Amino acid sequence: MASKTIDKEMEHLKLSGEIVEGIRFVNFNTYQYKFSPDPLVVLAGEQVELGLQSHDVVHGMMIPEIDFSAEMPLNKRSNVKFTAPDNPGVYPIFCNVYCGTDHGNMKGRLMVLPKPTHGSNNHHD
Amino acid sequence: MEVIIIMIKMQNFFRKPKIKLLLLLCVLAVIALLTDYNISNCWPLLTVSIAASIFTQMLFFGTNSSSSFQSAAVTGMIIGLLIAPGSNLLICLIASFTAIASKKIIVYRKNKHIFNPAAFGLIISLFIFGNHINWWGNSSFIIVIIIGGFILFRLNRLSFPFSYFIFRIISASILMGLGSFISLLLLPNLFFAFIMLPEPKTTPGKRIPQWIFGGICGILATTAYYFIPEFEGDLLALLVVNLY
Repeated sequence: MASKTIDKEMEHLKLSGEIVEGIRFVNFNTYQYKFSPDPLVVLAGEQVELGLQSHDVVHGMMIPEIDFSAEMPLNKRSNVKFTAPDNPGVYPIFCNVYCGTDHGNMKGRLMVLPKPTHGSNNHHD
Repeated sequence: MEVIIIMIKMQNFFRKPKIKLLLLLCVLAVIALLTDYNISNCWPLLTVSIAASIFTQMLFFGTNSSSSFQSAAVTGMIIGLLIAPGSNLLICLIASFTAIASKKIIVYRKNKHIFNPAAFGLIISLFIFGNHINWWGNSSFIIVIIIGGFILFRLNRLSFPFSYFIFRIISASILMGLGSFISLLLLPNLFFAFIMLPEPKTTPGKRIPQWIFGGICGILATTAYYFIPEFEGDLLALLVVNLY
């Protein structure tokens, strides 16, 4: 799935958020027409909890390839969990609540890194 | 002489509104693909949606008219341009099948279908699979306005986007507070207004009913987006107004 350029980019990426009680917790925000952090970087197969919040209008978050979708409420945070895919690579994130003329171009990326074979990665954003 | 005949035939072919609409949809797809949508994710969506729509058309209506194939291709293309790239292709398949089947099954006198086929298929898929719609084909509002506006002008159907736009803005301002910055940011969906809303067979032909139809659709869409934002208010509003 990932091209050579993306492979190179992935080498230097830091994992998003922090580990809280064994789950990767990331505050995930939206504005017209972007997601933050972008990319959202996680490890393959790990449990991820997102604190979702929108800052202008109601947005949605959808990752079609893993059949995940959630609403991003305006000015309040809501938490959702999902399991990262087992296959490392880049998975597009889209908004699925119509949010304005450029809604169709609102995209983000979920970057799934291979699970380290030993030791742990404690980088934070 | 033969060249002239071919040229006249070509000219007549490209004069058809459905062909113009198909070309517009193709242009929007190409723009979306050029502005960094991944072709490997998008191509299967479009192929499955168009093929399933044409196949269902043949299944229910036979193979008599080329015009009905063009309608089916438009429906399939719209569905493919709305469902998010990377989504399960079964969603496109079900949406396309139910869209075309609705033209045969949900009809009133003279076998006229009631609901906008693409909107119906997408709403059914939304009930079954959840919301996988991201309007990725809404890639250039300038082209939608210029080419879409030109097609609607020739068909005397420009009242639809205008009335929808005006009442969508007014109702958003009322619901969220006049002068609210948020309501200004909630700009209406032009792909919906110029391409889906004015579908000739499920909408009125005269100007005043067109204004009423578009206006009610705008008000209902704002209301739906306000109370159930995850539910594609435009499509839902269109299906409700189709009953008008």
